Amino acid sequence: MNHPAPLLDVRDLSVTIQTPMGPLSAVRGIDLTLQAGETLCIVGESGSGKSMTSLALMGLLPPRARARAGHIRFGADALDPDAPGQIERLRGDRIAMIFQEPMTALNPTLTLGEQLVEGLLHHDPSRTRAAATARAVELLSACGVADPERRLTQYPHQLSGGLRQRVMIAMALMTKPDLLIADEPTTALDRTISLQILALLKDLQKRFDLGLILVTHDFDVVREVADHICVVYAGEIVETGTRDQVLNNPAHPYTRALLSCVPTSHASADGRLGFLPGVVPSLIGPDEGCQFRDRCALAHAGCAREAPWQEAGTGHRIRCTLAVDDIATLYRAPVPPAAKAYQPDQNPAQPALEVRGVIQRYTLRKGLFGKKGQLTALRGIDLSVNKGEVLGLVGESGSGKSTLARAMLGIERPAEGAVLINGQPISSVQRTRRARLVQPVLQDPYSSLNPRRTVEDTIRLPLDIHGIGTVEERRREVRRMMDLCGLPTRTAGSFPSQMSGGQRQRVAIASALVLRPEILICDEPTSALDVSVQAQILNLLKDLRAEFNLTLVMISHDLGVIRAMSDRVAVMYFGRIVEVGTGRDLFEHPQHPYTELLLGGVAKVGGQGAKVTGTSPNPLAPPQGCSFSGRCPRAVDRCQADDPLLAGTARHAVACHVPA
Amino acid sequence: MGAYIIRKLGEALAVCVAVSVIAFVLVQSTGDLAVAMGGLDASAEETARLREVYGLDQSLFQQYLGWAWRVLQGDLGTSYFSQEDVLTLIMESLPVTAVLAVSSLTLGLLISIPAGVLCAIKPGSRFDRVCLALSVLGQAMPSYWVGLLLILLFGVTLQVLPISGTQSAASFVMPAMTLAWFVFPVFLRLSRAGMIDVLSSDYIRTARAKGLPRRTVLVKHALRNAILPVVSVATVQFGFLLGGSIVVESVFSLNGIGLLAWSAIQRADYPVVQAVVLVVAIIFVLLNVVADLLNAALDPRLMSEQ
Amino acid sequence: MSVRTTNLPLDQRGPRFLRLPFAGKFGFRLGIVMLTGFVLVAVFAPYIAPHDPYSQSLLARLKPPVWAGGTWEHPLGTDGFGRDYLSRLIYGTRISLIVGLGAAALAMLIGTTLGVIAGVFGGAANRIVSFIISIRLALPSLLLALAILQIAGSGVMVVVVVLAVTHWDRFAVVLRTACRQVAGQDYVTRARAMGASEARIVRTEILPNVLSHIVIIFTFEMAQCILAAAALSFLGLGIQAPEPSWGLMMSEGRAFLVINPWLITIAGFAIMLLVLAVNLVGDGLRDLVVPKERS
Repeated sequence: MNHPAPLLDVRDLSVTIQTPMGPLSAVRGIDLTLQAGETLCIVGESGSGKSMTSLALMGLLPPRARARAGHIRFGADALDPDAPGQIERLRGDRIAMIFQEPMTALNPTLTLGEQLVEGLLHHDPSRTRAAATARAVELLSACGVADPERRLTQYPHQLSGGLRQRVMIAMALMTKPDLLIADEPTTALDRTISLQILALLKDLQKRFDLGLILVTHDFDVVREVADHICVVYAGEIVETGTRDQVLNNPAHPYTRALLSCVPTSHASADGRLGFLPGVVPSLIGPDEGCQFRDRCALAHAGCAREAPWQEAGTGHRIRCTLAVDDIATLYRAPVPPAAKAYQPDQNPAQPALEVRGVIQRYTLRKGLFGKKGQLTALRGIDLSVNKGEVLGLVGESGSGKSTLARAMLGIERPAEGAVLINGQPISSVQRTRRARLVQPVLQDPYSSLNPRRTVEDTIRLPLDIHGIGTVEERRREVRRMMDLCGLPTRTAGSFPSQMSGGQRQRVAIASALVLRPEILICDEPTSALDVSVQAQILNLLKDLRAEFNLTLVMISHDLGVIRAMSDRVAVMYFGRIVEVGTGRDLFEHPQHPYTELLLGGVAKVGGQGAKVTGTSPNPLAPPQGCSFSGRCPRAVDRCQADDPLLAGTARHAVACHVPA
Repeated sequence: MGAYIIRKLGEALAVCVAVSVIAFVLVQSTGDLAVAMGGLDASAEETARLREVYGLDQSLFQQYLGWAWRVLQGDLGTSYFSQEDVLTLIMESLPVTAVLAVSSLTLGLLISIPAGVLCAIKPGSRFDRVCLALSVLGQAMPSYWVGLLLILLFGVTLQVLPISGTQSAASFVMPAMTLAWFVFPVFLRLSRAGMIDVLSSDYIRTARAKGLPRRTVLVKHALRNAILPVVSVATVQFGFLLGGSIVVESVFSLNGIGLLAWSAIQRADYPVVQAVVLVVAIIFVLLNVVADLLNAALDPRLMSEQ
Repeated sequence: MSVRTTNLPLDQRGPRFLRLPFAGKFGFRLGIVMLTGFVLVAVFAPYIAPHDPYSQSLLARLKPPVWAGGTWEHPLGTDGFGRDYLSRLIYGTRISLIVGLGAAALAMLIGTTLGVIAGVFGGAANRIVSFIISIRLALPSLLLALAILQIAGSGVMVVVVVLAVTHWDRFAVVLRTACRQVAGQDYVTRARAMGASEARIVRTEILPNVLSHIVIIFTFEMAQCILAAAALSFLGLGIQAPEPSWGLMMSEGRAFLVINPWLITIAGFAIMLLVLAVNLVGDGLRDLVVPKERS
């Protein structure tokens, strides 16, 4: 391959942060090369230094961080990362950046119009405000923002998250930059919105011949947009190559293990995910060796020395002390033996958990004399889960899935309808008895545990509340649960602040199961965790399901997680179940247009034009007809007036007038 | 926006009613009002007549309604001590206190906001540490003590400023300095914390990523958002100064509303005390409404609240 | 291979409250030393004070402190009744500390109860508590305190109650927010799902996690109450003569402002030092609990 001079060429970039415990090497000698019009994905787990790399390139490092580099060449310019003037001259002009949080990345007290034009007016003072505004309008429509003139006078809070990210992108492109750095641009967005934004980025890149550096932890994103990939671990690039090389033929043990942890379209409830034990090492202090050696199945004494680059193909390189061929022969996919097969009862006399016509409303009221508003979070849910089954509940933010979880836990009584456990309404079950039927595992491992309790106290709490067993019996039981959940005995006295996210989630699971509940409701149990830790937790849940004959409700926005866990899947949209069916039926033959949208990739979304840019309807004033009709590519007149109900067989049902 | 104003006014009205009940009960709890009004040497018939005229033989609730009705018509009662109309007394002294409050607040804000912003730009710098130390000191010094020290310095030793009275503008210099020193720590900490908070926010990073000059980022993007909480606290603090300037007014013998209230308390002149409590509380409540509206005007997020 | 620490949070030294007395900045340590000093002086006042704080001597009126020409018989001089100033200052520590602690404790009781009710139960409870707080803030507290003292009479207990009634609002406001935030945490949801009663949830899940807020506000309100008590005494209400209250000492000293300015200066300085000590401790505690402000 014969490339012209690269747009960006970075050699040996390092970032060091001063901490009270010593200098922390967040980035250790990273090399990057990017051609104009190309997309480079920097992919890694948290703590890999991927965000620090992008901030260093922009000269936006936090005050205590220092960057050094062999050289940074941007087009014809050579830049010194430690000489502030140089990067700042290009920043916001030739190089632009967009960030993760669209909700907080825009100034709440300035109009969008002002925020759009101010950068351009600064970098090109000869331009008039009118000309800059005209460019803003042009770019907003290019970014799929309807009615751009009106947006200019609006403030950020008046826009949805997806729309704000479009405005952010338009803002970044105002000065016709050559390079756009996007740091997790879609992480805070729902999947359907995220797909739209990625499609937009690809489209704009082609149109403006942009170089794009996309920093992400999400392999779905990488698969959609990358030309080249850098896999970073603990501040170092461990593998780099084209998308096909890295994703389809990973060479480095880390990339191999990590990819095995990602739930893909092949994942199913019967199998297990890959296995990558341990956590990222401390980056404080000097360490020249391979950073991955503590977690690597192939590690040997030589790994403490600096790892050399190895060629794995044309432009495909890894950093490892072993030769590429040796890795290929030695490496065994670290997938532990499959969990013991568990067959749920297909035709039981009675479902373990049944939701009947549940409607939930909340009254909103502000102040002493505030107006009341009524928000309908659940608009009639019917659902049943058989004993031993895993039901996956997938939906985006605002679909009501967490409200449904609270109703199923019996800690919030629905406005109408009932939740039945083994045929008995949960509202008539006594509080302590209910706790032994159904328990939750919740999303945020940081807020799941009382910071004032040790691990042992947390797991023992349910036994204390219920007064089960003697002190010694409780202690034994806690130790047994810790053992089952993969918590080392020495952590018993630890406080949550001393544990990693994955360990905390293990503690939460252990304390949920110590009462031996029949049903476990998992509300986004892994969405705050890294992919490798997510795989550990999902595998643990699979094991525990078999061990305790659990019935599981798995709530997630992540289709991969749902696919890897569930026997049956229900899709929620705007307080309703729009489609429900066995995992295979639903994923291979989706019938509801919303399910199709969720399952579709960027290509599919990109091809559907402006229709999909719509968002969810206002929950304070639900529409009369089908709530999805505003975004639906197949909507007919009837959908506007007539709200479809769930219809079909027990295997597969859908609420749509025009199913596929 | 309209609904927002109405809601705030409704809440303010409810608080005013509650405050008036408390002010009413305050005077009721001092004993037989007819005796207090007539004086100890009044005859039994005179006392009985007063009781009848002022409706003191009615039920408490009726008395309250009658009193509230008179208050609404501007009749705040008569001073036991001087037999003057209480409203007149208040109207005479309120301007003095208002001038004092406005000047000290202005002085305090003019010093503390720039200082707070400078501190926030370089937290931990020498300037920051000095300002924080001064604010800790300011919080610990009783305001009357500061006033007395100022009198000792400027009035007694240097003899450059009058130590009491309201004869000239110079009379207000020391009282205003005293109260400005009192509000300085509040605003310094508030503007410093607000600015530090804003400077670490995502939208400041966005502004920097656009390559905007440092000054633009600080003034246009950070300052306005950082000042938002200061605006509402300053408005509310103004109300505190109206009711809390008693000690300073007594130290400098300023004929403000605080001194009026204090001398009334010493003379057990309860109609005056009651009226001052009521007036100050109502002004405070109104200032709170103003603060809410100011906030709404400066923060577009509140403006478009449904 | 050497043992490498894992990428855990920096806070590995156990729960924060255990480290409190040993950590923090210079100001915090200074505050603790000063406050300990004041407490010791208050406790051992009879052993330290050179004279009886109440005994008058018309022969020894208005003696200046040693550095201004006085004698070691009365190191800080004497007041207008010839009472030994140092002894009165030492006994005054007792009054300030008792009033400050008592009023702040009672205010804590009132404010915390209201704040916890509003924060945990929300809805109508929250609206009612908000209304009560609005009323409390609208009333001019010093004025009201003076009026109540005039009506109800004086004495240490009355002062404590009056100050508590006018200083509980910050507890209520902060704890309402803190409790609402804690009540929204997943561990509260989990405790509820475990079948814990609401009372148990408040006791074991919510209160321990807002305790740090209570302690911090307590120190600030204690400082405020000491200042307010001194202001009341200065205005001639509350603690009455011949008690050696610092505010009262300043009030008595005003008459001799020109003759002997030390009478005012020293008592005011004592108040400042005590309030400073309490505030430094409060600031230090807050920095330990909320370290984000330091960059």
